[in-house]
Amino acid sequence: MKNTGIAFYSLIFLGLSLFAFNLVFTSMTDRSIFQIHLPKELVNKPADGQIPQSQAGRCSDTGSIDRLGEASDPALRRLAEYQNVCNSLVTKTVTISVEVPLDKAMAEESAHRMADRLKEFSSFGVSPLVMVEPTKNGTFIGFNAIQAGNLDPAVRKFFSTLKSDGVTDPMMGTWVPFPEANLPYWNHVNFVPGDFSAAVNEYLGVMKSQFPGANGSILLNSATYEHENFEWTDGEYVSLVAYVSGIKPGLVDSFGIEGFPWMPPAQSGRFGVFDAREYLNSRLAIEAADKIGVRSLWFNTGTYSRKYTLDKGKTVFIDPGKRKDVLNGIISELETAEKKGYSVSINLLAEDRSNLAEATDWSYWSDPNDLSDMNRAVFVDFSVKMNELGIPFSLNDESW
Amino acid sequence: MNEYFIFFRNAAFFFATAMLVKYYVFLIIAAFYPLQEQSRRLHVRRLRRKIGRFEPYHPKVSVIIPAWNEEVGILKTVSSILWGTYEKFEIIIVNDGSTDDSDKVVHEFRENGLKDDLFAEDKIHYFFKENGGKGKALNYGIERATGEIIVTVDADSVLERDALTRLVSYFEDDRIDAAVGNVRISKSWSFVGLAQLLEYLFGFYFKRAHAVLGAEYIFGGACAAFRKKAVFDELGLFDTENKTEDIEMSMRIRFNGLHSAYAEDVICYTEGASTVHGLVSQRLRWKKGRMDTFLKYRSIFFSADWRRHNVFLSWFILPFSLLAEVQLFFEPISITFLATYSFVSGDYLSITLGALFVFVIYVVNAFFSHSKKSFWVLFLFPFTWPVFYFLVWVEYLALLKSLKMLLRGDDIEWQKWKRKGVVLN
Repeated sequence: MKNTGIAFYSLIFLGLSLFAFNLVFTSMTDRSIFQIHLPKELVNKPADGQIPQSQAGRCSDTGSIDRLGEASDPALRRLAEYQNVCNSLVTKTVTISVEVPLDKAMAEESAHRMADRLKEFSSFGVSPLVMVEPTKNGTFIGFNAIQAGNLDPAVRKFFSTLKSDGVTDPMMGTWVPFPEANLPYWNHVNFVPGDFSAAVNEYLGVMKSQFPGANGSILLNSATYEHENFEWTDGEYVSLVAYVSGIKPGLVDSFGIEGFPWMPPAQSGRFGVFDAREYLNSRLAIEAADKIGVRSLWFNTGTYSRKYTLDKGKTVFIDPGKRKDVLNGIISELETAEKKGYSVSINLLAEDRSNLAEATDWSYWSDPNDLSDMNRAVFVDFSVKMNELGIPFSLNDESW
Repeated sequence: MNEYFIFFRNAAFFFATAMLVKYYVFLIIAAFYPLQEQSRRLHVRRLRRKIGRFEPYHPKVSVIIPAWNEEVGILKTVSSILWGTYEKFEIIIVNDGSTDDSDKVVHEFRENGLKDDLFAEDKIHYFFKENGGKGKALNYGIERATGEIIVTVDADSVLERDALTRLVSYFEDDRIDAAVGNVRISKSWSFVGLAQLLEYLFGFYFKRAHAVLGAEYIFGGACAAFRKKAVFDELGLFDTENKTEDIEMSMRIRFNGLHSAYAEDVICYTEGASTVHGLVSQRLRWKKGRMDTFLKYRSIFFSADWRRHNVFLSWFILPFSLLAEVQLFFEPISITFLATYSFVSGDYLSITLGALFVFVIYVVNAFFSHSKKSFWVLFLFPFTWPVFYFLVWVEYLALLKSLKMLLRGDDIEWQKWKRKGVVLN
């Protein structure tokens, strides 16, 4: 064989080897070997003069809610920080959580606190998206107890107290009982999907008996897990219809689907998931919404900048550029559903949960005044884009 | 997730799994070779006793040595046969129009080198003919051979002293019409030499497994033996058009239902390619020859002619051999893929299984090789992967080139590299 032949075929060999290396590397780390990466600490610091225009501009043409920073509710004060970053209104919907009361005394106490919050929210024109956690002090309350109506007296007391405290239907916003029931961490035992819909019927039935104008909703994760002997790697993107098929008509006004991008820690043996079509599957949401008979979809999602692990060396970083890509992918998935005639919105998780068990920083800044923080710019750009597209979004940030 | 990634991941795992299964199956099968060989020999002895043949099997052997410009090594080849333990033989040297001093070297050897051996002169028949290729040279020698057993030995190879004796003993079994010796690369401490050394080291267990299954199908020209009547008289001489006449003849023998044996105890040292260029050209010749031969005898693949064609050869060995070529085609992708995947994911199962297999082969070679214990091979273990990757590259070049030649109908040229001579291990 001539030297030119050896060189030519060697180039093919080398080219294919590089192709395979890049394919694996890109698919598993979401970084191309041909991309030059700055050291992590420099990634968030753009060079002078490269701060996006939107950082200094406004997110929307609507003015900020006045005196929000003076509110007594921390959720409202937190929203004020977003307004300051955006120099305008960001959203009028924020997520708050409440636990299911176990007895009437607890219900009354909890309802008084909630009533105060809801009335202050209303005074600022802010609507809550209330996540009703099936827990009490972090301990799971079995769906069987809820669906059997064992907690009805307490739940009824809760809502009646809200009513008597002056909470009106418009103040209630949207209530989401028992979110993510298809995730296994609720420690379900002998659980079947019908248990979830029965419990939702029971809870929302009581709520709507007191607040017929309040909105009820459902939030399910896009990946479904076995509830016993599960592995986090075993989630499957399967139909969610089983979880909603028993929902009584008129109780639920919208359907929410949850999904987050995921970057594997080094040497985990798993693949990154960054395609919104995969982790935030609108097809599954539409299928479930159609089953319930609602046309309103919301997507509970977000992106994180850091995910800490016990081994510091394995901390996962996602750079701002990637976060922006992820958000754009999410918007594309929303638009897919919108084109099919559904109203869509996003509930954006933006909380720094570094100190919680999940050890993940979903936030977009540590200092809201740091204009050089590219993560902050990502949020601003996202807000601008959502406003331009006319897609509403709410914030999920309870870091106070 | 990237769809191409998923496709290539599945393809890589398929091939890796298929090959690992094959390798491990072969490893197990190969272990039965000594047992099977003992059993065969016992059967032959009993049979001979039964039919009253008590005299030792001592047929005349004709050793054909085709030579083209082999001045460096030919005397070592001739000497290793001449002064071996077997006595009833003739050596037929066919000088295929050499342009070097091989003619002079052989003549001087016959005149001055045989002083102490009165009978040696009669055993050596030397012919000089015009250049026509190795196949024609072999046929020239076979046509003049008077032995019952024809042994072909390359002029760059050296037989161990008792190699001929052992080789002949296989033909004591009437069922065997061809046998191939255990070819080893002579020691060379160059990278190319080391690569071939390791490759041949691994090749032995394939031969063993093939032998157990009765599916040996390559009788390399370096050291092979044939029963003249059954092979050359019945099936004809070597195909002079085929540049890998030994592969063609091997397949022809198997295609016609003749039986063969792998003679592991017949050790033959040969000189490997000494340069990368030489090695690439050698592999190109082998690969192209094998492709041409497979094409010629394609009906043996998945043959239902059970009586004539060995079922393991038809349904397992040959198809896997083709699959290996397909695998080779994707090897740059699959090897890099598996290595990168293992490194990034931390899932080292495939690589560990591969390494385990390689290590077992090393251990088997070190402690159980036929002639002598070779503990030193264990020190080569760390160098296995770069060496094998180098060989994959060489084979890959040969594959692409031979595919191109096959499509264009081109033929390969005779190969010649600069000889250094065999260094005995």
